[in-house]
Amino acid sequence: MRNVTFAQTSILDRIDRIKRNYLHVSQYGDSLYDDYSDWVEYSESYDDYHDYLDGGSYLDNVQ
Amino acid sequence: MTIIFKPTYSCNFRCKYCYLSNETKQQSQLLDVDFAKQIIMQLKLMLQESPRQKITIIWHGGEPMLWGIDNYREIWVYMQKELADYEIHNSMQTNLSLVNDEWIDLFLQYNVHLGFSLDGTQAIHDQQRVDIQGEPTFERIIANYRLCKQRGLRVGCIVVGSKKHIGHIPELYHFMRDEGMGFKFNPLFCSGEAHNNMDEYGITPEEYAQMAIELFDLWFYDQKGKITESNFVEIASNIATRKPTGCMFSENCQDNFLALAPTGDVMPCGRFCDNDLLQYSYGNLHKETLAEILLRIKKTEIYKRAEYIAQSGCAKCKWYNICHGGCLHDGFLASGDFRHKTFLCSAYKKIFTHIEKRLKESGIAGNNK
Repeated sequence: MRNVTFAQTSILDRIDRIKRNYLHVSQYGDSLYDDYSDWVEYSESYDDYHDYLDGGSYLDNVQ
Repeated sequence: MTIIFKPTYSCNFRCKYCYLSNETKQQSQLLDVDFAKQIIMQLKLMLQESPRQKITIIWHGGEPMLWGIDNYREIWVYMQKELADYEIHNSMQTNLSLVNDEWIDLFLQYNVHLGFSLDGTQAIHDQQRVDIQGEPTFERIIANYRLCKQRGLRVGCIVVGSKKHIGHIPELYHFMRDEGMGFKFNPLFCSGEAHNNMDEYGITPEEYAQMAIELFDLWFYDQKGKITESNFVEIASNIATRKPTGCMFSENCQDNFLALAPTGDVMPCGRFCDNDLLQYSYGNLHKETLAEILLRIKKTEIYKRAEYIAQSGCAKCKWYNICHGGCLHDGFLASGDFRHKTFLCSAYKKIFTHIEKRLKESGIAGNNK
């Protein structure tokens, strides 16, 4: 079995960070889409988001 | 809130795909620093009236460093004094050509993070990104990138994916990986100077999807790589959590992003900052206060785009909750009507489907408790 790559870790970290920033009102489910459907508050600002990523994310999409 | 602050449209580069026309760049003046201070005071008033305590200012252009190091010193000292009660984060999107130790000292002093553009390998970069004399720029940019990194500055890269990248995605990825250069791979869009060069550089949504999928797999399974591709992290976490972040896929980017043009116009975002798109200005800071303009935004048709999209065919799409019709400006490019969904819709469906499949195969999607 292959090791978890840096890329996969980056995604998992990002998911964990989003999870921590939501106020979760019930237990997580098992399916891909039901897990987060009842989170009611997102406290992470876009600024945190920009600060988090280090890959040219400071301005998203202007060329 | 993120404010894209453009002190000038002038630029010392003439990139083939620049979102601005060369005419706009040539005609642009530098923003008066005293007027910039007035804008900062208006921001302060806005912050005093709002629960927001935190603002990111992205200094952008044109080439924002053409505004001059003395103007930045003056405005950042002023901001530090006037906005001391708030958390302000400055970053800059630059072509990196003018960076030197003096600039880096200033960036480090004010914790300014840099984004810059480098289109991968020299062979491709030097075709697309030339200076005002038409000379190639790769060697200057890579040297300055390495200097920034050596000095401990946070820098991230944007790669504008063009026709030149077709068939060269492995070379692109391996180059970025070997440089340790985190990046995001954005598709070239047809705006400004790019209008004149689409035959040579333009790509279709299908071509973008194919390149993005190939790049994703190279990155996702690479056992050696230690770099982040920001778009992929964003899309993958959006898929896994159904909570889109970033300006491209949020339900309404206008809740969190604004741009200030060198003309004093308050624009929906940096992409709309062009003298040819002034009809989309929310108002001009030479004539009104920022507070007056902000009060009006929620009543505008642009702000209501989210409602139009929710009532369109997009609402029935599997990906609606993580896409929301995509970028406002991409919708505008698709049809001349900002209410339209992004022209990249077909590409996003392929990319989202592919990434979802990889997340499931790897267990990421199913083990995210």
